[in-house]
Amino acid sequence: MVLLLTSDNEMFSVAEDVIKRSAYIKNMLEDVGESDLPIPLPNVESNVLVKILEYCEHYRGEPLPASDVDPAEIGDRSLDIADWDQKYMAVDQEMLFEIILAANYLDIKSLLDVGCKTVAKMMKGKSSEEIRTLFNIANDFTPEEEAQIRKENAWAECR
Amino acid sequence: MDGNVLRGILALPLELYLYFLQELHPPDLLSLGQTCKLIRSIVSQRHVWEAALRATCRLNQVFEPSYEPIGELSLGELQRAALEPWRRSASFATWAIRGEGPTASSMQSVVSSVGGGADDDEREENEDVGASDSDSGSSSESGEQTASDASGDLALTKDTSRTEIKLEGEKCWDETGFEEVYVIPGGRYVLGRTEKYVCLWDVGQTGRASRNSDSRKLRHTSIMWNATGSVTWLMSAPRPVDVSSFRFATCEDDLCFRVFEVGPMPDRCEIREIGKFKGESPGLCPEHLWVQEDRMMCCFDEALLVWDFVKSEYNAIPIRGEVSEITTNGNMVVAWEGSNTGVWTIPRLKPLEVASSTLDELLPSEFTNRIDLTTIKDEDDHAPRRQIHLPSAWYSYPLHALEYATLHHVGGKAIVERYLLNIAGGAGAHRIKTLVSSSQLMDPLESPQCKKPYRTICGGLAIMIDRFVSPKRGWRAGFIQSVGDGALQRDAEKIECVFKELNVVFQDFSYCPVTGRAAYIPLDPPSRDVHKVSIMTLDY
Repeated sequence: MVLLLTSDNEMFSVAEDVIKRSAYIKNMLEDVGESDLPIPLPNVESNVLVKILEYCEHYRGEPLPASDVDPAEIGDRSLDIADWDQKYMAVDQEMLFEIILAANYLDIKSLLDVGCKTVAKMMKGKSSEEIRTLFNIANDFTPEEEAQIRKENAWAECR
Repeated sequence: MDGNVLRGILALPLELYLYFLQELHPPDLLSLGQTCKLIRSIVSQRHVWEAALRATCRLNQVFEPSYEPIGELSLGELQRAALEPWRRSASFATWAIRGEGPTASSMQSVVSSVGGGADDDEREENEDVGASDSDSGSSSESGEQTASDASGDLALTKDTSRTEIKLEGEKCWDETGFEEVYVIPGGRYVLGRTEKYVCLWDVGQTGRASRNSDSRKLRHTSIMWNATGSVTWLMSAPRPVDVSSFRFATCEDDLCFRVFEVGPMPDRCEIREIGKFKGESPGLCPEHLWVQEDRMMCCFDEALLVWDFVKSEYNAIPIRGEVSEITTNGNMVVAWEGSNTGVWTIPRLKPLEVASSTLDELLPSEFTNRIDLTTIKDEDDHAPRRQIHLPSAWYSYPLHALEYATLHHVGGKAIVERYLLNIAGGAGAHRIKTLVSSSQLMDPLESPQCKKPYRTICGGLAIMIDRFVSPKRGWRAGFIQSVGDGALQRDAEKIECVFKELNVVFQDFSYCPVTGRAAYIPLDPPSRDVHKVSIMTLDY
């Protein structure tokens, strides 16, 4: 078992083969070896870690993905997301970005992929105004700047 | 920003932005860049658009050297090049929804008013213009075009999209004209074949305000003559070797096969011979030629010849039955008899002994390991006859799968269906294929005159159908489009059809849907122009 200490000081005890999906923890275990000391995760809150562990638990026993895929192989990048992953990602936006940040920090590539694809999918086919509303982004362009951007992009409008 | 801690999407570190930006298509990048200053600064980074353009090239099978070297394009040029295919697919989608094709006038190949002064073509070109005036209604498309003209130097100019350029070949002693033409996907390079030579033109990047082809008669960049006295019968479609080179093969009347390579482009645009194989067998008639990696395949009635021009090895696989369509993928031969599909393995190749090689000797007499189409014949002989359409040679299949479309008639109406065939199971009859999408019932479509393969546009489908309308009005060309980007393709069940009236009489026609650029060999007027190929950009 591996002990993990979250930023809000909660201790988690996790099976090694579950948490090894995190390359960060896996490398740490390999470097440090067996230890009774908890691994501090100062960037991850307990509610996020619960969610991350749910993911690792689900994929427990499945082979770890190859580290690098040749980008040329991707060809037409599809935004297909497995059914389970889609359900898993059906969380509020705050949690979605927390998961992405944690997956990045813990170096869980497959989860980071799913997270980024989820965000990309949310943006697809939307206008800039729709994206602003969706992600609660404040429009900080002045009207003049906006007019300028519209002018620059006039040739490219395709929907 | 007023000093608040950034939340949500704005809190993501830069490297994570780059992560999901690569999942987005150019139109989404454009929208995203208009949301706020921070995101705009991220999305406006050069390498984001370089990656977007490369991905667009891959997705649309565009030949990268069709653009200036990607590293040298300005940010604006990068953006425009990356967005162009989506602009086109969006306009197709609009037409499909409105249930109409572009107007005849917007499709007309109108001779540009730019470029050279008086020349000997002036008279007939004026005639062309006159013909187009007679049935040109006012087109809303051209109105929009004008509106975007106003937005500065990046705008597509109307002239550019309606230019017709005449490409000149080489006059030679017996005055044979062009017989085949190919637009290299991307639209910048055009390959033409006569009985005596093959030549390549650089027509210039599409959609640029200033092009190098102001003169309406453009001389070829490279030419490759036959061996003396022989006549070239066939040419294969060009096929990419890597992102900047391509290959094609020819077959001469004495069954001399030659393979050529061009590239890396745009630096080396000359046609180089990289392989030659003299078969000498007057009795055989080659029907179809294609190149795949280091191999050239030639289909005869009686056999499929496979020649590895790098290792100098060959094999000939006897064919029994009537082939409707045949292709190879990796080490597999896929052949259709009607709509039945079969898969065979290419046997081990044998060393080619140049001295003793007449094709009659090379063709094996024993009929083992043959392509026997009778074994895949379905019992149902009453099933409607289907035309098989393969994707362009530019499309590279994954090794386990093959994609194709069929056209057949039901109750007097035509239907196009698109299939995926899993060939991972190896040799055998393959009756299990996945129907990806099908069209609505359409007006009857006749057999395509020039059977150029279909190509994709933004992951969609484009089959070109030509139909002879009348000697005066020429050929009617139809593009059958399934519009949808790569990601949505799976959901696109309906194939939408867009027809375009071309009003040109041609012998061979090649079209690059991504750029709208088309090349054809004009048959009108018959006595002149025998050494010319015409280029036009189909006006959207």
